[in-house]
Amino acid sequence: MTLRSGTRVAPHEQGYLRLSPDGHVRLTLERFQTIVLRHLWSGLDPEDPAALHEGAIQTHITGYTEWVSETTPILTLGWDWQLQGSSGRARYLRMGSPRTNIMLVDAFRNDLGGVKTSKTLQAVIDETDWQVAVHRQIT
Amino acid sequence: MQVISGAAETLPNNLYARVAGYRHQVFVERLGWPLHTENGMESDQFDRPDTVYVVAQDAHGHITGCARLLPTTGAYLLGEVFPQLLNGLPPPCAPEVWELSRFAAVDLNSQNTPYGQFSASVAHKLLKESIVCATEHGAKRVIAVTSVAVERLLSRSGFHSHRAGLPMIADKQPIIACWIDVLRCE
Repeated sequence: MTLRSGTRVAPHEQGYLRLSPDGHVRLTLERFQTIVLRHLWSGLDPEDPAALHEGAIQTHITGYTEWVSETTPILTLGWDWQLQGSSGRARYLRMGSPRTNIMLVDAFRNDLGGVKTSKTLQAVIDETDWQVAVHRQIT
Repeated sequence: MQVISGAAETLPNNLYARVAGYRHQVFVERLGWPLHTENGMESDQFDRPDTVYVVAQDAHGHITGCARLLPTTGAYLLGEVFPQLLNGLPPPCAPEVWELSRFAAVDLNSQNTPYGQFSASVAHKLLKESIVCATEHGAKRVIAVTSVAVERLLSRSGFHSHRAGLPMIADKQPIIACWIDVLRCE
């Protein structure tokens, strides 16, 4: 997977990519890694009224981000993030599992399953530079 | 918290009218959705005699959440209004597939409703009861049309679901269609 914000993507690559009646788009990890995802939008969470009511200081800024492919069928991938500060630098960290229509399959087109697909997508997300697009949108 | 479900005419104590008022307060007044309203009540063409409602109430009888269940064999929100959320697939039409919409879990009497004005604890129980109710009506699959905020909350609450297509903005609100795993409903 490659992430790109605000630009057009390359022509479709060859490989297995199928929209199933259950709504999943099934593809191999290798195929997924050839697909460029475009930043759709990102959002900030509203402040916690309970924390404000109690006079507490909100220590974490949180939000979510949405990415889509320009393939047909469309891949959609969204995840939550948290802005954490350490050593004078703020970092966006993915929080939790991505929300998606992707189901990864093996070379024999057998589902890897929801858990393994999620963990694989998490690892891929964490290796990509999505934070720039989020930061650009929310600031 | 207690949860009551049924068609409008079977709900006790004029509860359906109160649900319509609650929906107005949540979706129109709080979230700003431009929905059809009349006399402070929100309803649309999918609020029919065969529509099933799931309603959460606190110990005082105040409504703290609601959901609407529709069979996909008739007209329903996703199929009629938001088919573009299905990534090009035709809207489902089967007795074992039910739609969940107008899902809200907001305690209007509480200040403590973070995360987009949704209560996680109410949402979790309400969704669980909604799925049980849908399965009692023959559902084997449930597809929800909801805001991305609710989708996030349900994901954090441990429900297994996957998206039916990409999110889109409708009336300034990001919305999504997602399949909820009935078999793995906690």
